Amino acid sequence: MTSNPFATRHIRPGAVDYIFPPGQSAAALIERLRASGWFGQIIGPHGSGKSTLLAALAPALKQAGRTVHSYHLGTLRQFHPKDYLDKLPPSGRGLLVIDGYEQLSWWWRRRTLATCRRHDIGLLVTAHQDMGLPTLLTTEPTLALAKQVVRRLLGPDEATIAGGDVKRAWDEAGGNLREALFKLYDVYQSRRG
Amino acid sequence: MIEPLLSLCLAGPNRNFAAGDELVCEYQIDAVEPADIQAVELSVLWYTEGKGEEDMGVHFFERRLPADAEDGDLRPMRRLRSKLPNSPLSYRGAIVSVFWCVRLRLFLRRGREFVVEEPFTLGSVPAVLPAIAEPS
Repeated sequence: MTSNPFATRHIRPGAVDYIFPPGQSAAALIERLRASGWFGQIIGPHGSGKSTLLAALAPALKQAGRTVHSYHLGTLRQFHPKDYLDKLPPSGRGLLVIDGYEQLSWWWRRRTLATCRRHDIGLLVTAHQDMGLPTLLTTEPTLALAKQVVRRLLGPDEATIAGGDVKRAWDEAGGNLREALFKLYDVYQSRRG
Repeated sequence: MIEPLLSLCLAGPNRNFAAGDELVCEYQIDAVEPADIQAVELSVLWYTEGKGEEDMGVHFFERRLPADAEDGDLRPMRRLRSKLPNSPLSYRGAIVSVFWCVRLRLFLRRGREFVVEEPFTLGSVPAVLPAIAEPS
């Protein structure tokens, strides 16, 4: 039995490398975050790589001396902002990272921002639209990027999935990279038996 | 720095086991100084793979520290035996698959870690795969 390279364990944030757009890097984004007083946002649609980018930034943030507290606001889990506001990272070098910031109400977003400012803690968020913080990067996956990701997942010698399969999955998923990869999971599974 | 060499193998040619069978494996570590080794872990485990949340279970686990070995050297060949359980059986499905493997993890001082795995199957459950319409 061979592993399916499009399974969650291979494509979840941290398991797959984030492919930075030309001219961008983890170091450059951290520098931009530092320049904006450690306040920033990553914007992009569903399945565009925001969480993967956060995972890719984690080592560089640690290297920059930030103590990071990360929270993922999944739609399926019960979550209350008090969970993180009661356990803030250290003042002066702490960074609160919230993945899915737009899921907080306007009131909790305002309170989170105010708490971070009051305690001298940075705030880095991901969202589907502008949340009023300095934008570090807007994730905009393309078909070319999807093909690049698929090639990395498959390895150089694996021919089970062709370029046409990636395009079909990409079109069917309406440009949602994560959904396209899950469609390719089914294709791979049916062909590899 | 040269990477340590981790050798892990199942005894005998068989990679397909039945519930209750005895799995025998051997491992050995080379190309690293004994003093650089912090711990060695061997596990026999299963994990799920699919499009959703993952699950796993450890059937057998052994962690050895230098203090557990003769002369503090964890590198020499070690043989382990484990009776395999009745479930979960290896399975390849449309939504989820179940895999079994033996996993060897080497922890070096200063936080470096190396892993090797040796897969095997438990049971013989037929695969149930998705029917995808291939483009004409």
